[in-house]
Order: sequence, then C-alpha cells, then structure tokens
Amino acid sequence: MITGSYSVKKGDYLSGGQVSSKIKEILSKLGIASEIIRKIMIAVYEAEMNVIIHSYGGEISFVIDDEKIEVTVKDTGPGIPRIDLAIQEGYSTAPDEAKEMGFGAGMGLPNIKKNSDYFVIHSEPTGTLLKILILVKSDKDFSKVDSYVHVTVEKCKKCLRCISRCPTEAIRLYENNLHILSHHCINCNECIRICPTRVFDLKYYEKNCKEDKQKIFIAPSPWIASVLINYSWEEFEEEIYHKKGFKIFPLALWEDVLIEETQRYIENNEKVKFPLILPVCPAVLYWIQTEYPALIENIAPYLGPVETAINSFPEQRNISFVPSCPAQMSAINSNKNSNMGINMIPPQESYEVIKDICKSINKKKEIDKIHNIDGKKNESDGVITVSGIEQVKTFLENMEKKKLPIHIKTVELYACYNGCFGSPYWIEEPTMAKIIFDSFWKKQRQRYEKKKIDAIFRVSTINSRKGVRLDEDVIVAIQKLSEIEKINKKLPGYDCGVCGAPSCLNFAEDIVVMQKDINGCPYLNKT
Amino acid sequence: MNIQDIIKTSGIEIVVSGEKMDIERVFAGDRISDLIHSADERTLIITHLNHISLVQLFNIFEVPGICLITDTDPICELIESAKENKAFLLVSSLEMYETCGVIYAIFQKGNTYQ
Repeated sequence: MITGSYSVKKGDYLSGGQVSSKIKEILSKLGIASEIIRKIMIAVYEAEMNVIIHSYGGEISFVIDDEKIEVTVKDTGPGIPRIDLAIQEGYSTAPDEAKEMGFGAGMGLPNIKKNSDYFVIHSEPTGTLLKILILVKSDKDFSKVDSYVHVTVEKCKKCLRCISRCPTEAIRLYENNLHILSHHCINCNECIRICPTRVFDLKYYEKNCKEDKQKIFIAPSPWIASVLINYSWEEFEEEIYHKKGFKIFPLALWEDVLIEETQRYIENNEKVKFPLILPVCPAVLYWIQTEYPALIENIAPYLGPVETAINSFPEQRNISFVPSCPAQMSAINSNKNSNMGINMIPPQESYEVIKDICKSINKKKEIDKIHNIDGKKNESDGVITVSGIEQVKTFLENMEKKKLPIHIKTVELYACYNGCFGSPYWIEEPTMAKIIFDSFWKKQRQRYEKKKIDAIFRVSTINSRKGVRLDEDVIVAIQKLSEIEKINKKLPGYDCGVCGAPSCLNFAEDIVVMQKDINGCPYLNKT
Repeated sequence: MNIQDIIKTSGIEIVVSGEKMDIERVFAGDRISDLIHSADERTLIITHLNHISLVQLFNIFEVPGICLITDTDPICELIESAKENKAFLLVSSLEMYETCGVIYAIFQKGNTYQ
C-alpha cells in the first residue's frame, strides 16, 4: 500500500496541478494503465483546482493498493451550500479571476463524478470532504455486492427452510454442501432468522481501531431500546463513558436527517421521480439493484444512515458500531475511507457490554409511560413505512408495475419487520422495542442536536447488479436459455427444494450453468 | 496525421518545436475543464487561453502541442513547459474558427490521400 499527502493553498493558481503531477509520477512508476491514470488525473486535477479556487486551503491525500486508488480531498471551508446544484454541469460560483484563466466552467464536480468509480462529498461551513475512488483493476465490477453471511455447514440439518425462504433464491444445498450464490445474495437477515440451527451468521467483524482522543459509538435504535427497557438512558450514557470511554451517537440522528434532507430535496427539485425510496435499509437497496433495476432511479440521492454516520467522523480512528444485519456490514465496508478505524461489535457481544455497564446502575423503579403508540411521527412527515420481506416484495412488485393503490411521495422500505428492531439479532419484541424507542427519541432528540449532522449526497450512481451471464457469446447464451426451458419442462414443477435448489426453474438453470445432475430431482423418474 | 504537415500547409508559426509528431484529432476550447477532459497524447489543443493553467496540459495530460491564436505571444512559463515536455507550442495568426477550419481542411485532404 502506498500513501501520500500534500497541502494545497488558497488562490495559488501558479502551483495548480502540482499535487496531481506528483500523484501521476507515482502512478506511472507503478505501471498503472495509462487510461486509468488519465481518469485519476482528471478527477484529482479538478479537485485540486477546486480547493485553490473555492476554499481557504486544504489537503489532498491518497492511498493506492493493488485494486484501487482512493483520494481524499479535505479543505477548511467555507463549504458548499448546495451540493445538489454544484454537481450539475455548468453551475459555477467561481470568482471572475478564475474564469479569466479558463476555470470556473461549472464542470469540476461533474468531471470528477464522470471519472471516478465511487465519489462521496460531504460539506459544512467548516470544510468540505471529498472522497474519490477509482479502481485500478478495470475488470472489477463495482456493482458487485459481496455476501456478508457466514455459513457453518456442519450445523445444517437439511431442513431446507433457508432455500425456500431466501427472497432472491440465492441458497443451494448440493452434495451436502450448503452455499450462497454471492451474486444473488442481498445480505438481508432472512436465512439467519429462519435457520433453527444457526447455520448462518454475520461474516466478519472488522476491528482495526486505533487509539484516539475520542471513542465514538454509533448506537442502533434497537440496542438503545434494550437498555431503555430496564435502565435510565442518562445514567447508562454516563456510565458507558466513564467505564469504556464511549461517546454515544444514536443512529436515529442520521435517520431523521435523511428524512428532513429528502423533504428539502423534494421541495427544491422539480424532476423528482415519485415515490422516492429512502435508502434506510441497505438490504432493500441491494434487492432493488438485483431484481428491480427499473426502480433504481426512485432511490433518494443520499447515502443511507449507517454510511452517513460513519462518514460524519472521517478522521476518527475509533468508531464502534453494532450491525443489525449483513447488509449494514456490507454498506459500511463499501463506504468507509481507509483512515477510519472501525470496530464492528457482534450484537451478542453488545449485550454483554450492556450487562457489564448496567451492573453499577440501578434498575428503573417503574416503566416509563409510553406515548405515541401508533407511530404518528412518520405519518406527519409524509413518509410511508413498509417492513418485512414479504410486504416489501409486494410493494416493490406493485411499484414496478405502477400499481400502487395510492399516491405516495416518500417511502421507507425495511427488509426486517419494524425495521432494524425486527432483526433476529435483537432479542426484544420488535413492536414494543420500536414503541419504547420512539417514545424516548421524541423527548431526547434535542440533546443530540448540538453537533452538526448532515445527510451525505450520493453522487455516484447506483448500478444494477449483473447476475451470472449464461455465456459471453450471445448465441451460446440463447442456446443455453432454450436448454434451460426444455429441462424445466421435464421437471415436475413442485418447487419442493429437495434437489437443493429453491425451484424447478432454478434447478434447471443450475443443471445448465453449474453442470448439476438432473437425477438430483427425486420425482423425475416417478412422474 | 503528422503535426509537421499541418504546420507546413497552414502557415501556423512554431514557437517551440516538439518531438511528439502524431496527432489524431484537434480540440478547440477555452475552458480548462473541457480541455483536460479531451486532452490526451494524440490531441492538438487550440485555445485563446495564454495562461499558466495550460502548463498542466503538457505536464499531466501529455498533449503533443498547443496552438494559440490571433498572434498571441505565449507567456514564458508556457514556452518553458513546452520545451521541458518536448511538445509543440504554435501560434496561428487567425481566429479560432478560421484556425480550426484550416486544420480541418488539411485533415480532410490527408484522409483523401489515404
């Protein structure tokens, strides 16, 4: 891994491009393909000139490994008031002196966007942070989503529940070997939830935290709810700070900001495609990418709450988070920058933290009275919430067919029932946990508003995921398709799952693509 | 197309003579963003700009040559940068539209011969 960092001065047009030149020198020595260098150079040069023209000065740093180059551009203000306008071609706030030199065409951010594979911008009056990622290996598919579900085959009792339950038909059980087709997996919790023997679990917990002045703990709402049931939050918060040094930021802060920012986006933009899907649940976003690509343009142009929360502390080397599902882990891993130190705490372990902290706190004498039981908060925001795999599936199908019964402006879709409260990792009953949390949040939110928290505009496009192509050659692919149809007709159509595939059609595909034996069907010779 | 053929036929003046002779296309513009987006090692740039910002077209984007127009005297930094990068620095006496027209005609002729 190669890293470097250079400072850029305000208004120093004479030195404009020097940082880009230095980075280019390094890239050339590494033997990176010239067309990739060109893309990187356009993006970095535009970013460098933006710092010179628009900011009080800043710094450009980069990290290169064998897969990608990640460039971070950070300045000290005054920030971009309207990022949504700044990324439009031709919009410029450059001073006349810059325009006389040929700059300020309003093409800076659009050019950066065009030339990067991933691009995040976060701006506030104290500074703008721009992260550009360009893949050095051009064969890597950026729409690819890795599966973060870990499979312990030895625990499998072959009950086949997971195979029929998986919403994207990603699980197979062939030759006693249970495995997940990663190009189908959307990292939801369904297999984890349904398996009676805990074959499935979250795959991997990154722990690369370093010592830092502050330890940030981004607390998911269900985790807070499980504290609230028995203990006073103020006491708990104080105790966890004393014992572990954690400064807690509820994830709900970024969920609220996302809703508010989306409302503003709707008010300020005429070309919004309704219903706008709030990117609250990364599993639903992966699902849309995989099976409903026509709905991608309905996704609100912001990062989800988890990714935004992590990116609100770009310089922090000690951020802890408890993921509620594999999708949140995947979202964090694809949106963190390499400076961050992230500590993913397994949910089971997070309960141990609660137990440990609560030893020294007294239990509540009486349970708080709960208001707002019917969840009016969301209704007043004009946001419809749909949760649970089956409900979301029906909703997305209707939305794709333009058959929604009523006009909906904004919708939150959660793969788990009652959102993250319904994750199998949280032991409290989801409805009650949500009510308890909502009631708490209504009263406590203002305590956390001192720190400025923003939504982060999602500048890079969400692409549809590519499944497995039947063949590179279209003619061969067509032949294979007709072969699949033929085999499917031979199969009984019971979709029983005994063969190890979720449906007869899936089995027919696997026979052709994965060379499975048609005799794996138990009914074939008996029907 | 060989850049020397363009220079010979068009009457464009050479300020710095370079070594990168082959060009495949010409791009004319006055906005740096447009220029860098189109610049590569086979593109001749035509521009009104006579500013230090052009230096990076040589350094970073390795253009084989830049042609200024309307008899502009290039600034020293641009001349030095062209020399360092062994690239052409040219000056046309014509306006941008006419300069482009002349070079376009030469390109067309070159293609006809081929």
